[in-house]
Amino acid sequence: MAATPAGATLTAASAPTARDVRASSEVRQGVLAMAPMIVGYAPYAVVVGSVIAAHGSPAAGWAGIWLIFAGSAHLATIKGVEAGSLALAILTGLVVNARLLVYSASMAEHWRGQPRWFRLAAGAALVDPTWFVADRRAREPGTLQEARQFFFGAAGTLAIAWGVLVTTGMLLGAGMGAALGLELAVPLCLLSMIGPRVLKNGSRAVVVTAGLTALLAGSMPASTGLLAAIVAGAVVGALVRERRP
Amino acid sequence: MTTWLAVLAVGLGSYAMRVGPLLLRDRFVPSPRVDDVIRHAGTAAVTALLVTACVRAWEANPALPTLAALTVGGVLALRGRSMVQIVVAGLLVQWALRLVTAGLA
Repeated sequence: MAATPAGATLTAASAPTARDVRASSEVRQGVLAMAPMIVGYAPYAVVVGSVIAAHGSPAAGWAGIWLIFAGSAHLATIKGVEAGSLALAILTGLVVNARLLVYSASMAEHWRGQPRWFRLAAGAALVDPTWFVADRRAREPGTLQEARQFFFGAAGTLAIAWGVLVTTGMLLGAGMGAALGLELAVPLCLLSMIGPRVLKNGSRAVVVTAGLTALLAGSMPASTGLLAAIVAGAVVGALVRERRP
Repeated sequence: MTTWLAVLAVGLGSYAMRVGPLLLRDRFVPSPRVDDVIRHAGTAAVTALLVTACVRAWEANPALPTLAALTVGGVLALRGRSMVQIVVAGLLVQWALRLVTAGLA
């Protein structure tokens, strides 16, 4: 038995095992991996909240935090409703979120051995920042259980923080985020995710092709330019890799 | 009611897109070529979002502070700085230039 500083004792049953320590360490690593992203995404969350606050149905808008769980698709859906077309709102929201198919397909190989319940639960929280940290973690050594614990730490942190921050934006009021130019935080966050990849030979062609296509196809209806850019970038990336000696 | 319907439909559709490939991977194993395309698609998706977000920020904010902030953010990103450093530096540059341009006007 080990004595705690407070004088209480830990029995063998309650003392943390090596396995518990490893688990809490992986959860902590997940939280720490997500924390800087929360700081980066905070201004954007406030902007999303201020847009929801200005919308005619803030309760439904607030529910979208959890139901859609993706800021850009959430905003696109709200804007579509405001434009007066339910069909356009749904189509635009789904097209903007179509990249989730890509994230899911990319994680499918890493999570192939994971239990079904984990894939069902983790899928609900798969979005840009969680994909980014999970993909990076999957390339490092570790067991499937450690990967699960890491993902729950990261995704749980994002879910709680995103909900709190968007709600804060709603309470602060409409137009506050836009007045401060906080929407600039979104491209800045994404820049930090893409910047290091531009320097890698294999990813440079992907970034350049997807970027140019997104720019040129930006005026395509219902955000379909996003899809065109994803397909073009991914195909060119695969072709470049194939031709490399 | 319209907002509820839209949010529910996009939420359900998004969940299907998030979970579908994760569950179907057991049944369908893609060819190495398709696997390679999928591997690059994540980076392409984030890049496409980045460009779209830059264009929106450019349209919604004063041009010079936005351009300067994105340039500073881009340089820091290429140097491998953290997300927090990039966001804070970019926003500070934007706010400083907004104040300067407002003062000049």
